[in-house]
Amino acid sequence: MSLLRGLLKAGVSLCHSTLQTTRQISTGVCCLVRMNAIPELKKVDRWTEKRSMFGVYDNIGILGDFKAHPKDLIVGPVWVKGFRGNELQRLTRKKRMVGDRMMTQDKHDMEKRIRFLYRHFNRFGKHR
Amino acid sequence: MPGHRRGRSLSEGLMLEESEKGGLVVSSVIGGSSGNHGLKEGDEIVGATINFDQLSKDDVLKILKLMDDNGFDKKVQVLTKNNLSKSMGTLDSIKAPEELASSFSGEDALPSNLRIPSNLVDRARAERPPPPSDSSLPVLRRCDAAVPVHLSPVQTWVETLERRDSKQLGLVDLHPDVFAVPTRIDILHEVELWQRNFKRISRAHTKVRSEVRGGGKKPWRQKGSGKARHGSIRSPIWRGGGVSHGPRGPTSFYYMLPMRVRVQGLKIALSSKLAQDYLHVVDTLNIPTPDPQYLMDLIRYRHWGESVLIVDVGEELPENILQATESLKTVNVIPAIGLNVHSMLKHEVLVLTLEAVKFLENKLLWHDERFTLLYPFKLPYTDLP
Repeated sequence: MSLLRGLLKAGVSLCHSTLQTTRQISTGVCCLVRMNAIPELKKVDRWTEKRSMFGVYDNIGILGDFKAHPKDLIVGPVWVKGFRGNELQRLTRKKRMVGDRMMTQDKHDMEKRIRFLYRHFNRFGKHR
Repeated sequence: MPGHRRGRSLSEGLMLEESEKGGLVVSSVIGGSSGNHGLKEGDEIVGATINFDQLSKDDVLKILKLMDDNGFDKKVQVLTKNNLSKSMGTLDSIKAPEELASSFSGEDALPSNLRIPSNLVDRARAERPPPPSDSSLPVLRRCDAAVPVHLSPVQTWVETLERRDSKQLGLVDLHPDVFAVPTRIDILHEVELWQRNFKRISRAHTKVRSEVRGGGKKPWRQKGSGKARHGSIRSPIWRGGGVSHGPRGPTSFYYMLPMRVRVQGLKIALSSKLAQDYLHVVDTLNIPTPDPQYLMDLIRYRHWGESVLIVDVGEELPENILQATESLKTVNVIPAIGLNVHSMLKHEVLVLTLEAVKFLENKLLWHDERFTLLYPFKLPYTDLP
């Protein structure tokens, strides 16, 4: 907005000084974003079933005689439940646990990626 | 000093005068030295706490006299210069009364960084009907575990959900090492973050240049075409090419906090709920109707709060309350095994049954005096229950 105003002022001054018509040209990015009004806040329901029941049973170990562990509650792929690691560790774990069930193209891509990451972590960079 | 008004005299025999600016000045001391409390003629009284030992302002004097007649258990309304109404219950479990900083005449009672705007004070809770002062309520439950010698059990009332306007049934003793633990907000924060993150699996995934379909062939020859040199059409600088450093596959953010930290978080959350008057103990969860409106009426009548978390022990909860809370969003029932810091922070009010209190004390106190782990608790120990 300020750029446009500056251009207008420059244009007006040019008109006054040189008595020639000038065209307003803006090459900036500010005219690409058009905001005619302040956008409305999105309405979020803070009390849905998921939000109100979030975190229940997280202390199932302490309060439930240690028969279950909170990591059993996690919903997700098998090789990532209750496990944290960098990409190479995750991929090798995936290959161990799920590799024989994978589709051929996906498995091939995964093996290429493992090979690349092994070389990247163990041969290049500061930390080998 | 000009513009005096004769103040009321206390039963102890002090004459108070109110100056123009609103300060209370002791004009004279009548009677023996027993009622003086160290006040001399000419002292200016600038603040008041609802301690019956100290003098209070003129408005509270009337209530004090009433309290002298009826007993010391009534709720007291204190009006400060800022017209904040503070209500304080006078019982064994004394929450720290707010002490007004000494104010010189002409300035406000509290310094500006401690003043609460009046729209933040919850007037609905201030109107909560106090329990009867004259009836001596029986203690329904004492602490099972041994209370340390230097601490004493915290007490709170036991209520029923049978009728909307029923009175308190009795008192219950709560173990101080579970319900009166010093509040550490950093531990609460840690546990809350842990609860949010350890379950998180981000499934954001982008394809690398080797995984994007196509791009094996060199698009044009190296030299002579006049174009920039490229090896594949799926390199990251191309449109439609792979992402070089994007998110890769399902990532997990799993970690575990030490068991004692999680236990301490639970204890701190329970203590804060009790200290802030948001904890209620109920004998059982039997309600007369499965009507959700009955529960909402009860909560509004008793001025509990906006959202209620009800906790009971056992796998089978009474059907009436399950049906009633099914359609309600802000009132939820969970078994005691499911108690956690996030739910306690999310819901404003916590309602425990007597069995739930016993269960929680049992589980949480064990960690104070247990041996450290040799192997995971999942595997059998001879001495664990």
